[in-house]
Amino acid sequence: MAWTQPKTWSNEPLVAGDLNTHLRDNLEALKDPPQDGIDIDSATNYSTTSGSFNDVDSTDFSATLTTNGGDVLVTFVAPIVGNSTLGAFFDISVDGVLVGGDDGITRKEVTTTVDTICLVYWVKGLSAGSHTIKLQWRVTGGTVTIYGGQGGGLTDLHGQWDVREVS
Amino acid sequence: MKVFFFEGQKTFNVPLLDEELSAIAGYQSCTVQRQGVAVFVDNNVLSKEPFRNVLIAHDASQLSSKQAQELALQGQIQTLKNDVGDIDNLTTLEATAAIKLLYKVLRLNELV
Repeated sequence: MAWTQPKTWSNEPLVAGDLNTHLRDNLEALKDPPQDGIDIDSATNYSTTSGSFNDVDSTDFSATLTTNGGDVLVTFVAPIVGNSTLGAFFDISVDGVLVGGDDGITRKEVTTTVDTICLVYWVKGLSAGSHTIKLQWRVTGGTVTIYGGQGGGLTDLHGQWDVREVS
Repeated sequence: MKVFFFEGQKTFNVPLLDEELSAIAGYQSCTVQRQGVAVFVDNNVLSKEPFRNVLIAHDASQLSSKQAQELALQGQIQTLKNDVGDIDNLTTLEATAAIKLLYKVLRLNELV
């Protein structure tokens, strides 16, 4: 349900059409905002050796939503591990443009012991319309892996990627 | 940099895959996704075939050279643990072996 800029009433009769459009429909829009994402459950893990930012997964960690214009909240949590001690960098691309830029939004020091990467980021002032938001990463050397819940012993862990308009 | 994307699902030992792909001129890095593998290469690389062949031939049950070294060192460390009862009373031979092993561990982890 799309958001409609609420009407400012003057002294006039309340009519069903206005109430449905400006109250009912907007309440439904607030209850069910544009959203996309996944609860991670893949047959494979996600890994990279890349020193340049690239998609963690061009489908799974990609969200396309038609926004009403405003702020979008991006959340991501997942188990992460490296094949040695290394730095894993994360950024978010909005319609192909990295919002963090430079070294990204955050850096996670990763070791051979499983840890958690948690990213919360507001994409502010997004225009109304269709937008594609993707999670990207790079690594400083070695291999970094996000477990996909692939069923392996003690690595059958399920993270989450979620993108939704909040204002 | 450009990317070759190979669709398909397969289990990969990514450090080994990276090592195998590194033997091909122009290879930079790779990302394993659910639908396939993205291989990042220099712009002047024209053919996908060498990379495809490596992906097809890849055996995830094998170890990369570094993984093999780590495994060997773990065995040596365990042997040393078994041999050394009292750390304060090592023989010269045991102490020398321990120092050599320590150096190997540090070198493998790029700390020296």
